Amino acid sequence: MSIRQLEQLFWEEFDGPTEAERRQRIARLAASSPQTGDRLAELERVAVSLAALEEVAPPPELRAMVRGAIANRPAHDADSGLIGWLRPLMAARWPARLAYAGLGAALALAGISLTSFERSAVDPAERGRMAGALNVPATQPVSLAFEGGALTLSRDADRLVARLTAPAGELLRLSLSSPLGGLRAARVEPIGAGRHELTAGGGTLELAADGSVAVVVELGAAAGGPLDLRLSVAGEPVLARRFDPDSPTFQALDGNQQ
Amino acid sequence: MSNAGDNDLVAATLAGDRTAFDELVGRYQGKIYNLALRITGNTDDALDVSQAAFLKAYDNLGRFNPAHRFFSWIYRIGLNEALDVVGRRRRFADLDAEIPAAEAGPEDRMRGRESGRRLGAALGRLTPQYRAVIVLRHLHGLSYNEIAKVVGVPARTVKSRLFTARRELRRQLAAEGVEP
Repeated sequence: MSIRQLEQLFWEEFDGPTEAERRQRIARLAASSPQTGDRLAELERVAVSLAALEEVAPPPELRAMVRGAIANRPAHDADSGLIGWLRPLMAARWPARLAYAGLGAALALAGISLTSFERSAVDPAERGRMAGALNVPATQPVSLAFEGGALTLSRDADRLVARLTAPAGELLRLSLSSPLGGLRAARVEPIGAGRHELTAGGGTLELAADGSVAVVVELGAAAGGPLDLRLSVAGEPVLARRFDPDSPTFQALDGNQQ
Repeated sequence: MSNAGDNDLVAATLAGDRTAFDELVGRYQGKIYNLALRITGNTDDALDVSQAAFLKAYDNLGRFNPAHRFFSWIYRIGLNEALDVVGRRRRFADLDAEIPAAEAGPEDRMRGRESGRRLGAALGRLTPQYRAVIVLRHLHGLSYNEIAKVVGVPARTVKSRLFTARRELRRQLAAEGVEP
C-alpha cells in the first residue's frame, strides 16, 4: 500500500461512519511497520488538531448591524413575493413544475366553456402559473378551446408562448406563421410524457405533438404583427385563426372575428 | 418563533415579518462569521463579509428554493462573499495574527493557544478553496454532500480537495518539527 493510499484510508475512516473492519485494518497497518505506524500517528495528530478547531463568538454588533440595515430596507411584500401557492411550484423540480402548471391549466379551463372555438380570457392564477413555469412575462393570455383541449397564447414584446393542452395519444399539429416573417422557436417544453417535434422553414413553425406541449417563440421581425395559427388534431383541421396581439382577439382566417 | 424551522422563518420574512429574518441571523451568525474569519483571516473583513452575506440573503430571499436547506444557501452566500474579499485583496494573512482564541480553561489555554496558532498559521497558507473545505468539514461538521452544495462542486471534488488540504496541513505541521 502506498503512502497516498494509506492517507486516503485514514481520512475515509475519520470522515465516515465508524466501521469496525476499517478501524481494525488501520490498526493492523499501524502495526505492520514502524514507518507506517509513524505516518498513521502523524495523521492522527493532524486529525486531533483539526477536531479541536473551535468557533469564536461573533461580535455582538453583527446582529444589530444587520437588523439596522434591514430596517432601512423595504419589508418583503406578501403580495409581490414568491408566496403562498407559488412557493410550492418554485420549490418543485422542472417536471413537477410543468405538471403543476398543467394541473393549474386544467383547473382553469374546467371553468371555461369548452364550446368549440370560443375565445376566453385566462384566469389570472393560470396566467401566473404559466408565466412561472415558462419564465416569461405574462401579458394578455387568451385561450381557444377545442374539443378535447385548448390552445393558450401569452405574448410580450418579442416572445410568444403557445401552450397546447390535449390528451396524450392525439396527434396535434400547430402551424405558426407571420405575414412579416422572422419567427424562431426559442424553447419547447413538453408537458407530460408526450413526444413533440418542431420544424421551421419559410417563416413558418410547425409543431407536432402527442399530448400537451408548450413552445416559446421568438418573434423577431414578426413582433407587433399578427400571427396566423392553424391547428389540426388527428389530421382534422380544428382551428385557423389570425391572432391580433393588440386587441388581443382572434379572427378566422376567412375574416370572421372570434 | 424560536422553535420555528428555517423555512418557516423564510416564509414569515417573505410575508413581511422582519423579526423572522432576525431570528435566522441569530441562528447562523456564528457559523457565517467563523467561516468568513477563517477564509479572510481578519476580524474586520469577517464582520463586513458576514453583514454583506445576510443582507444579500435578505434581498434575494425570494429566490431561495425551499426544496433545499437554508443553511446550505446562506453558507454559500457567505463563502462567496468571503472568497470575493480574499480575491480582491490578493493577500493571505496568517490567521493566527487576528483570530481570537476561543474560551478555554487556564490549564488548556497555553497549550491550546499554541496548537491553535500553529494550525491557524498552516490553514492560512492554504488556498482559500482548500481552507473553505477544511473549515466546513472540521469546524462546522458538514458532510461531503453538504459541502458540495455550499461550494458548488461535486462531492468527489470535495473529497479530493479535503485530501489535498489535509495532506498540505500535515506537511506544514510536520515541517515545523513539532507535534501538531
